[in-house]
Amino acid sequence: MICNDFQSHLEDCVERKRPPQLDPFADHLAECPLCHERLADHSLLETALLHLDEGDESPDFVERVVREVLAGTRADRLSQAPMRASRGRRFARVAIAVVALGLLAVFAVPGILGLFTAPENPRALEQFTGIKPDPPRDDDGVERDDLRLDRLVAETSVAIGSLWNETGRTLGDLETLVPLGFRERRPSEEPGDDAEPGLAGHLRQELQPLGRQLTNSFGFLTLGR
Amino acid sequence: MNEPDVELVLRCLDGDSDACRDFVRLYQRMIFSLCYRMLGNHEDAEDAAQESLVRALRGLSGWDRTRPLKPWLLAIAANRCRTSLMKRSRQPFTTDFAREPEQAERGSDRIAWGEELELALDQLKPEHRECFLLFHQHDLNCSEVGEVLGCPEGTVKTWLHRARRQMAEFLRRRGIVVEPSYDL
Repeated sequence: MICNDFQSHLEDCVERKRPPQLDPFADHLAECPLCHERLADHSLLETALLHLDEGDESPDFVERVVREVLAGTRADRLSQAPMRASRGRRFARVAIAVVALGLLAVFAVPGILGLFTAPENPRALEQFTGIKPDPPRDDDGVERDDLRLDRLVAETSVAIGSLWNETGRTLGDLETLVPLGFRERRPSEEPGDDAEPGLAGHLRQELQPLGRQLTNSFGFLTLGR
Repeated sequence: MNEPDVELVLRCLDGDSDACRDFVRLYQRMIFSLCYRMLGNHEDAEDAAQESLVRALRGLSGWDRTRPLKPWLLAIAANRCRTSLMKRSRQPFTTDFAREPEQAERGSDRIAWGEELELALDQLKPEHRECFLLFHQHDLNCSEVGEVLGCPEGTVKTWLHRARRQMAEFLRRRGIVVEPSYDL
């Protein structure tokens, strides 16, 4: 019982609730090692606390603090600065989160769902990957004539288009006109056509008016001659 | 809070630089001391103390004048220290050989009390250490410590009891013994 009383008294002393009065416990402390140890611990800490020393701040500490506080502040701003800062920071966080979610919705989710796929059109694939596709071949592995013609026309039209472009004009008409013109009239399909046979002849025949037009315009194109 | 302090705070809020200087001089010791004990080195403590006082001065209008200023200031400093400790915990671990404890020499004349107490404080959990320092070094009562730490008074008492017991055990293990003072 007296141990509990002593402990309670000691705790009150520690918590500064009452001034220490050990006289009533003197006899008990002399014969109870546990309470003696509690009191010894208490004395030890109280003594140690008297020796707490943490050194001094730098000599310019006060000036540094005051300078930082007064830097760009007046009395009215003193009260608002922390609030403004925290609001701004909060807004920035929300904005970043919204942008991140937007980017995720636009790119990551469709990608994950497989909405972005490689283009099936060979030309588009060529533009996409930079790899030129092999020309289509028949069962014997020989390049098909009609497709070969289309390819050659397309390449030629691109060459003409480049020339056209160098002069500052658009490519659009030329790139579409030339291949379409060839598709409409294929070699040796029209009876009685006395035009020069073969690919070169057809190229010449089809491109002559165009070449002439270009020659008239710019004077250096030789394809139509 | 007493009148001179209120007057000083009002002058600070008016942007009086001399008042700000007086305010810093008045509380720098208390703030620095807590920071030093919490962070364990002079440079970090000074940075945290400076930041705490700057924040306190900028946020003075948010202080409730019906309540004591000291716990409010210490709460700001304690928050700064916790932030600093968190940042430090994210940094790569380094062994501090200088802090390796050696057995204290027996005999009260040879005991470096300050060092022993620092080592004992280092053994405590941060929240126990904070509680111990606010109570014993800054003379806050359990209720005020609870306000600073944002925890109930009962928790403060428990932490305080554990901290005292752990520190006393540590000091005893280190061979430091004090004959109990019967007049406390």
